[in-house]
This record gives sequence, C-alpha cells and structure tokens, in this order.
Amino acid sequence: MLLRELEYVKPDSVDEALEWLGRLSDAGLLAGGQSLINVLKMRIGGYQTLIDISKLEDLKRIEMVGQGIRIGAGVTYDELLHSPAISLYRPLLQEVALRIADPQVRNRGTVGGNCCYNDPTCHLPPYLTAIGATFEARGPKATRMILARDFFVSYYQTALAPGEMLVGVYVPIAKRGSGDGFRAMSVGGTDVLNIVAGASTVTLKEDGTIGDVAVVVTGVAEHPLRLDGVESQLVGSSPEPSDVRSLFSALDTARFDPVDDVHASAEYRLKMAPIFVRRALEQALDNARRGLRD
Amino acid sequence: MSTTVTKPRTALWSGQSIPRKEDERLLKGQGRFADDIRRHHEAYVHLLRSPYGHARILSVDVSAAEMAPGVITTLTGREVHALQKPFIEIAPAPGGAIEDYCLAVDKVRFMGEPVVAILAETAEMARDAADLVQIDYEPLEAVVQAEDAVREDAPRLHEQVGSNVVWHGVYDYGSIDAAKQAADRIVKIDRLHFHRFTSTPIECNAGLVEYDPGSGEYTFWCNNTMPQFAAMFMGPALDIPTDRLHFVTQDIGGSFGNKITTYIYLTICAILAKKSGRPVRWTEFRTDHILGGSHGNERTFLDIVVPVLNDGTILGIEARAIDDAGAYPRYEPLGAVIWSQVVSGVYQFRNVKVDYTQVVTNKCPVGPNRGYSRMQHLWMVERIIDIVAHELNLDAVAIRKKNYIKPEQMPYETPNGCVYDSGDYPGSLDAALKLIRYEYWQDRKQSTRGSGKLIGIGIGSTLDSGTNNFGQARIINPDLPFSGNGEVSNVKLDLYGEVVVTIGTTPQGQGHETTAAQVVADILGLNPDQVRVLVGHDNRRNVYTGFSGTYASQFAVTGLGAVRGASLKLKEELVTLAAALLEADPDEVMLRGGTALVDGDEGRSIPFIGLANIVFANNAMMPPSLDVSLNCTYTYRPPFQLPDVERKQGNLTLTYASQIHACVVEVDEETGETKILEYACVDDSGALIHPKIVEGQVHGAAGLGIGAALYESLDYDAEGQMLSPNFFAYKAVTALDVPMMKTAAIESPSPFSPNGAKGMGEGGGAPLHAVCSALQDVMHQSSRALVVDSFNPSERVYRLLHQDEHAPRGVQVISKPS
Ligand SMILES: Cc1cc2nc3c(=O)[nH]c(=O)nc-3n(C[C@H](O)[C@H](O)[C@H](O)COP(=O)(O)OP(=O)(O)OC[C@H]3O[C@@H](n4cnc5c(N)ncnc54)[C@H](O)[C@@H]3O)c2cc1C
Repeated sequence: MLLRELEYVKPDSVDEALEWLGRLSDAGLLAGGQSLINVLKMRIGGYQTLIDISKLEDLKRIEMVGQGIRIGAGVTYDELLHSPAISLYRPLLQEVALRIADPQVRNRGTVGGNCCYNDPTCHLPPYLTAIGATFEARGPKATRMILARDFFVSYYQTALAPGEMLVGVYVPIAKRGSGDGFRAMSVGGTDVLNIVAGASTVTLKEDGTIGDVAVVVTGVAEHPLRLDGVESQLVGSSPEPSDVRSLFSALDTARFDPVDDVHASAEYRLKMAPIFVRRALEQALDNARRGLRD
Repeated sequence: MSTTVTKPRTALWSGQSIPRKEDERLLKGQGRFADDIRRHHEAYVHLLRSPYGHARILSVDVSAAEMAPGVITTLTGREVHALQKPFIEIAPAPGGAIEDYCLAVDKVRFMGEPVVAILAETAEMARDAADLVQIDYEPLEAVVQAEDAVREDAPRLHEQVGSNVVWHGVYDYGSIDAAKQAADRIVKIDRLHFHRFTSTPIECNAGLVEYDPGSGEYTFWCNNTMPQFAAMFMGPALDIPTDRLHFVTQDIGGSFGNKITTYIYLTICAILAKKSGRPVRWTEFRTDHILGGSHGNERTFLDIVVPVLNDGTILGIEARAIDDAGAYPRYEPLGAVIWSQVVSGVYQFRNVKVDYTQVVTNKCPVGPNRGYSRMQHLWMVERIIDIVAHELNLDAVAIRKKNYIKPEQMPYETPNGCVYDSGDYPGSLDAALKLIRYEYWQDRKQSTRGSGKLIGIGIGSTLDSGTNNFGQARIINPDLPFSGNGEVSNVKLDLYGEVVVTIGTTPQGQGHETTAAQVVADILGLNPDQVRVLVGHDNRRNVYTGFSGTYASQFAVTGLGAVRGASLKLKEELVTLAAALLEADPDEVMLRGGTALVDGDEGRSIPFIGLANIVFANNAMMPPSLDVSLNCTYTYRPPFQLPDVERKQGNLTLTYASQIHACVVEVDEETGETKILEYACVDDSGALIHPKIVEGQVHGAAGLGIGAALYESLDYDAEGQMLSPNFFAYKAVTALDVPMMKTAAIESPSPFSPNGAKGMGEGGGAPLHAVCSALQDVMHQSSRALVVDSFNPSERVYRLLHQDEHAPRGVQVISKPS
C-alpha cells in the first residue's frame, strides 16, 4: 500500500500551520498519522499537502486552567498516561487511553487526531462527550470554544470549519462526589475496534442522590449519543443496581441506527448498546460513591 | 509457563534446549529475507487486482499506463494466454479441465485476482501507473457458499468443468451400515461448519526473479517453502526444462503452508523478467496477501450420523463433506485425501463413511494452512464427541477415555491402513486436566451459575500426522507421478576444517540450524557451535529432492534423518582416514572436539583441519587405497509403499504427534463475550531434539488456533466482496490476545523414525476443538444450543446463548428398540 506522492510541510508554530492551511485548498493536518496515513494508503480521497503538526510544542502542553485541565491537541495517548495532572484530576481518562490499541499506536496517536478523525470506533469522542469537554478551535482570525455535544457532528465530521484547527481540549476537573465510567465491546482480546461503547459521568450530592449525570453511547448513531431521557430519570435518585438494570432494559432505542458490518450486525449492536452504557453508568456510580465515602 | 518433561536428559546435545544458532542473527536484525535481496538494475512489479468476485473482462487498456513515468512494461491476461501454458492441475477430470493462468484471462473469479502486472523503475511508479489502466468488467453473479456451489443452477466459475465440483470421492471403511445395526442409538447432526481463516505469516510473499538469457535459467530469490513443487507447476507453464528453475531461499518470516502456492506470482515475475530483461522484484503488502495469498480450507459437514452404544462407545461416523477450494484448486484437491491420514482421530471407532466433494467458489484459492485438512476433520470428530456426550448425558472426559486408542494398542492400524506409531492419549488428557485444575473448575462451574457468567471446560484431542506418503495423491488422481517422501542433506568437512551442513529445507522459524547442528555434533563429537548449517534451499547446492521444503510436520524425521545419514557417512570417512594416518584400527579411533584420536593413546591424534588438508590440498599424502571425499550426501527415504488406490487404503503418514489441549472459558451471558481462564497443552511429539523449540511451536500453534476460534475469519459478502482484507478488519491474533499457557510434554518415541522424533509443527488445530468444546459445555448449561461453527466471536456466542428453546437444535437422538 503506497501513498500518492504529496507535499509535506513542517511549520514551526500553530500560526504558521494555520497560514498553510489557509493558503492551500487541498492541505490536511498530519498529527499522529495513525488514521490519516492509513486512509492515504488506501487512496480514498486525500490531500496534496500534509502539514505536520505532530511536533508543535504549543500543542503538547497539559496545563491546569481554572476548574479544568487544558490538554493540547498534539498530546499523545502515551503522554496522557504519564501526566500527573490527569491521574490526579481525571483518572479515568488514563484508563480509557490505555485501552487504545497497542503501545506503538499510543506513542503516536494524539488527542486531537482522535477527536478530529471522529471514527465511530474511537475511544475519546464518547468519553469526552460524557464528561462535558470543550474544544478550542483556532481559525485564521479567531479562536472559538465548541461544546463536545456540538463538536462531534457525524461520521468523520466535526464542527471545525475549513481553515480551522483544534488546538486544545478542556476537560473539567472531577469534582468531589463525581465518578466516570467507560465500557467498550471490542473485537478481539485487545481494543482495536469498538463495536459499541458507553461512557458516563455522575456527580452525587452529599446525600448520595444523583445531582448531575451524563450517559453517552456510541456505535449506534452518527455521533456519540447522549441519552437525555435516561439522564433526567436518574437525576435526584439514588438508584439500586436493580433500578439501573430496569432503566436500561426498558431503554427506548428508537433513535438508534447502528451500522451493520463484518464486525457486528446492526441487531447485535442494538442489543449490546444498552448493556455497555449501563455498565459505564454502573462504573461511574461506583466510582462516585467510593469518592463520597473516602 | 511450565514444562514437564518425563524423560531424564542424556549427555548428548540432542534433547537439550541449547540457545538457537539462528537467534543471534535474527535478534540483531541481521537476518536476510527475500525482500532484503538486491540485484543490479532491478525493477518493481505492481499487480492490479480484480475489484469483483466474479466478472467477465471485456477489455483491458494499458496504453496510458505504459506511457506513465518510469513504466518499463506491462503484462495482461491476453499476453499471458500466449506466453504461458495453463498450469498443470492435480485433479483428474472434470476438475483437471480447469485452465489456470498467472493473470486472469477472460474472467476474474475472485476479488483480488491479479489482472494486470506493471513493471516500473520504482514501486511507487508502478503503483501510480496502475491508476491509468482501463479495464471494463461485466459483473457476473457470484457463488460464495460451498453449499450453493453444488446446486445445478449455480453460476459456474469454470465453464469447461461443467459444474463447480472439482473432485468427488467416497471414503468407506469398515461397515457403517453394520455399525448402525449394532448401535443402541443413532445421533444425527444436521450441519457443522469449519470456517475460512489463514495463518498470517509476519513476512508476506516476496520474490526477486532474474532471467539469464545466456543459460536460459531463471533464478528465484524467494520465500516459497516447497520450491520443487512450485517448479513442477512452473517448468511446463513456462515451457522450459524444469531443472532450469533455480530457487534460492534464505530467512523466511513464517509460512504455515501459506507460501507453498506462490508459484502463480513467481510465474508473473518470470514472464516479466524475460520480457523486460530486468531483475523483477515483487513484495506483497498485507492487503495483497490477505486478498490473494492463500486461505485455509473451509469445510461444511452435512447429515452426520453417529451410531453409538448406551455406554458411550462410538461405533462410527458417516457424513457428507463439502470442501471449498476457492476459485482455483491449485494445491488442491490434495486436501481431499490428506484428512484421511486421521480418519478416526484419536478414537477406536472402525466404521467411517465420508462422501467428500470439493467445489470452487468466488473466493481466494486455498492452500495448505497449519493443520491442513486434518484439523477440519478432527474438529468435526471432536464436535461429535461433545455433542454425543451431552445428548446421552455422559461425561465429556469419560466418553473420551472410553473411546481413545490406548497406549497398549500402539502401533495402531486405523480402518484405512494408517499406522499410528505411538502415543498415550489418556495419559495426556490426565496431564492436561491436572494443568487446568479440572476439579477446581468443575466446582466453580456450579457456583458461578446465576452470576451472569458461565464457565465451560473444553477438551481438544487431536493429531498432527507428519511425514506424508505422497503416494496418497494417487487416491485423488492415479496418474500422478509421485509417492513416498524424502529429504537430502550434505555434510562436508570443508577445506579449512569446518563442518558444513546443507539441507534441502526452507525453515521459517523452526530452528533447523540448531537442531541439525545438535544431530551432527552428537555424531561427529563436536559442539553445535562448531557446526555451520547453511540457511535455506538452493538447487545450485545440489541437495534436494522433489519433496524438499518445510511443510507438513516432517523436518524432525526427514530433514534430521537425512542429516543423520550424511553425518554417519562422514564419520565413517573421517575415522577411516584418521585410522590410516594414525596407523590405528578404525575401531580405536574416536572423534572428539574436532580431533580424531586413538582411544587410550590420545597423543596419537589429528585435528579435522589436518584431515581436510590431506584430502583437499595435500592428497599426495593420502594412503593410496583410500577413497574418501569428506563430502557426504544422504537421502532419507521413509519406509512407504504405494497405497491401494481402489480401496483408498494405505499408510499415509509415518508419525502421529498428539496434542491434547484443555481449557476453561468464561462466557458473559449478557453479551456473549468470552475469556479464556485456563489453557493447557499436552503434546506428545516423540523424542524431543530441542524441547524449547518444540514448546515454541506448541505456543505458536496454540495462539494461532485460539485466534482462529475467536477472532479470525475471512468473510465475503454475497457478491464475493472480501470484507476483511486488512488488519483493521481481519483481527489477527496478537500476543495480547493469547492467555498464559501451561504446557507439558510426554515423549513416546516413534518406532518408525530414525531418531524417535515425530513431526509436530502444525499442531492439529487443537485450540479450535478445545474452545468449541468449552463453549459447548457452556451451552449445555444454558440454551442447549449446539456449537456448530468453528468460529465463535461474541455475537455468535450471544446468539447461541439466546437460541430459542423451541428452535430446531440440529441434532436428533434416535433410540433403537433393543
Ligand atoms: C492498529 C490501530 C488500532 C487503533 N485502535 C484504536 C482504538 O481502539 N481506539 C481509538 O480510539 N483509536 C484507535 N486507532 C486510531 C488512533 O487512535 C488514531 O491515533 C486516531 O484516530 C487519530 O489520531 P492521530 O493523531 O494519529 O491523527 P491523524 O491520523 O494524523 O489524523 C486524523 C485526522 O484528524 C485530523 N487532525 C489531526 N489533528 C488535528 C487537529 N489538531 N486539528 C484538526 N484536525 C486534525 C487530520 O487531518 C486527519 O484528518 C487505531 C489506530 C491503529 C493504527
């Protein structure tokens, strides 16, 4: 599998990258290349010029900003795994990142690339949607903030406008009494291809009732789907395991429109989706309750 | 991981796990593989492959591609039709009427079939030019399922054959009718399906092909693993004397049989090399390899009838088998007889009737694949054992022990005349059960129920029959001119005193350099470090037979048998020469550490380099009566006779290594996800030359089988589109997917091999049997569904768990009035 011959530029700054992006109509950003290079090898579509942003220092920082952590778009999964800030303030993000493929992929693949590629099997979109991440997009003129639920538009599509790039992702610090969950069904013994995944975050009040909750599923729609109906039923409650089970066994899946492919039938995805979101919520609840106890 | 070895080790090198000689080179990245070979002025091939499963080629226009930068020449099917004779077919009529060329001529018959070859100055230029080739196809209806292919109205792949059936035969041993009469009950199973997968060598197929117009010789630096078999197809196809085909192999990164059928591609390169006058380089990418390399045989078993006694004694098996060869038979239909090496598996039943049909479908051609043809059959046998046990409420362990062939029955002649050399199946099973902590998991199985998880215990009992009698091919086609088997080795004391070993084999990770050196060292009184073993096959070395290569579990017998024979010859020459020079009796001369010396009078000695000097450079000093060359060649020939072609009867293989695997599998009832909690392999490979190499083979075969059972499947849709043509979609097993394994070795020396060893590289597909067996055990505790497919990803397990109680189960037990 050989790529078409193309141009390659390696800007020294985000501004320069944006300049290239604005100047060339058929240029694309190259981050970790773990998805893009494979697409180029298949010669489906493609760019004339690659703008390599993988070494831009500005995109590599993980820093505390107010009540959140700002993760540079160029941070690799491996760098996430080694960040003390993440392990302290959003530990489940490391658990999620650790499940992505293998060390080779984790050494190169980036947070920005994962979100911008937005493949339905990617780990980060559902999780970042659940925890309410915000995406910092920079264009030639301005920077704007995009909420996760608006960022992931459809298969391989994001809210980024032409000429814009993702520079960072704001992840809120996990509050006391909150907990996250992520559960994916993958083909094989390692995660390389999630058939469906569920992600959740729960914040409990001091009395143990749910103050805030997000429940997200992927693999059944063109973007990570927040289950608002379930969320509103959960708020204010302190569900027993059996309550959670009955909530999900009665889940309305009318909005689900899963793909049907060699890895799993649509029917199976439809059956598995409620189970994996439920498990994600159960994990989030466990983590939150443990946090409250400690 | 633990190894239990029952026999104490001796002072010999053979039997010891010495460091592998090839590892230093391989671990330092100093191995030399086919794609590492470079020739001056070489050019690169790109193959344009069919996007359709079945289509007529209306026109091919390469004119724009020929004008593209860097393009040297192109090759189309039309040209090939003029330049190549159709490859020989192993099948007799009607399958023999198939016309197979190296490029598609008028039709494409599988997605990925090469249609146009482009030769250019660089690989990129060849690839870019491919985008300029214009091909008009008329898509045709495809036939993808073997059961559809046999239908009268099915689309035909090869019009000249008259149907999609390329071979049919009935194997009828003992009397299945008498067994049915004698039975207490008859168990009928509607359908079992063994799926299509492959073995995924890390190194894909590759070759560098050069044509020398001066000598008319073609040289193939390649990784084909049975070169003289390839030559048999290529010589007639290229219409040149076959002995002009010069094959050279070097380090090879895995084959598992998959690299045997690369002669198709090497022929493309040969034609291009002659046409262009340039050395032609061809290296597959993974997608090429998965689309158009070689797949394992898919087989469907129908209308299975099993007469049994109430105590669980199995009297026989009757079945129809439909084997799917893909678009062209090529190495097939040899698989149609090879399974019959293990007609009754590890069991005592004597009545077998299999109606065997092989068909072509619009899928990639199959070829030998680790466990080749026997594992499909043995899988069916193991499924039958578990299903019978469950239907009759018998214990899966007890029914095996009741029906296993016993150690005291060895050597055991099977109903079709094969002779199992040695083995202890019940003992192996006991060892495997102990390793998986059988009692513990039997208890846990009960206590786990109701927790959302179910636990199943599985057993896979299987055989790896090694050292083929190629005469069995005559059961397929009586006109085929081969029988027996054999390998050659040359062991030479080189000019400056080094012992150099040459073998005709094509090792791909099996450690031939090490084990050959162990054998030579023991005979010549050397340390294995003092023995140099040349890598790979090279017919210029003049050390090969028609069978040379590395495949079908035979090196320990044929390869080492040849090395042993040649070493013994050299030893005799060395001793004779030394005795003459030292004025001693040959009986008094010993070889030790590279010196010949007189026993008890060690001052009288001469080093090997001195002996070499006398023969090669100083022969006026040689005693005139001596006739030694120190250059000794030996061909090992196993003791085979021609089989009885009429009755399909004969000794088809020399050795029978056994693999009894046991495992504990946990299933998530909600999702169908599986997890292997325990896995144990007990292998009996006869006398072990190098226990660690054997254990490595065991691990590899087990990992591959686990991958096949749970993750790996080559799927096509109804139009013949391949759905898993890359590693994104074809989930090849990795180290992370394989559970910790416990291994143990039992050594029952083979009475038939020169060293007591048995071929064991293929491993019999035991994990497929064991994992399915464990899943069957799970189903027995829940839906009572039958595990009818060899491939069981989560979704399929989920469906089995949730199979409607009232749905037909695909099994019937008919009790006979006593
Ligand atoms: C074997 C293998 C297994 C994998 N398994 C998984 C898995 O289990 N889960 C999972 O989530 N992923 C998996 N991946 C995909 C991997 O996570 C990729 O790293 C990720 O999808 C893309 O990240 P990247 O940094 O490599 O981006 P690239 O491949 O370089 O780019 C991807 C796309 O995003 C665009 N892009 C990149 N950065 C930016 C930016 N800052 N702003 C705007 N656009 C941008 C690029 O232009 C391109 O279109 C796997 C990949 C491989 C090779």
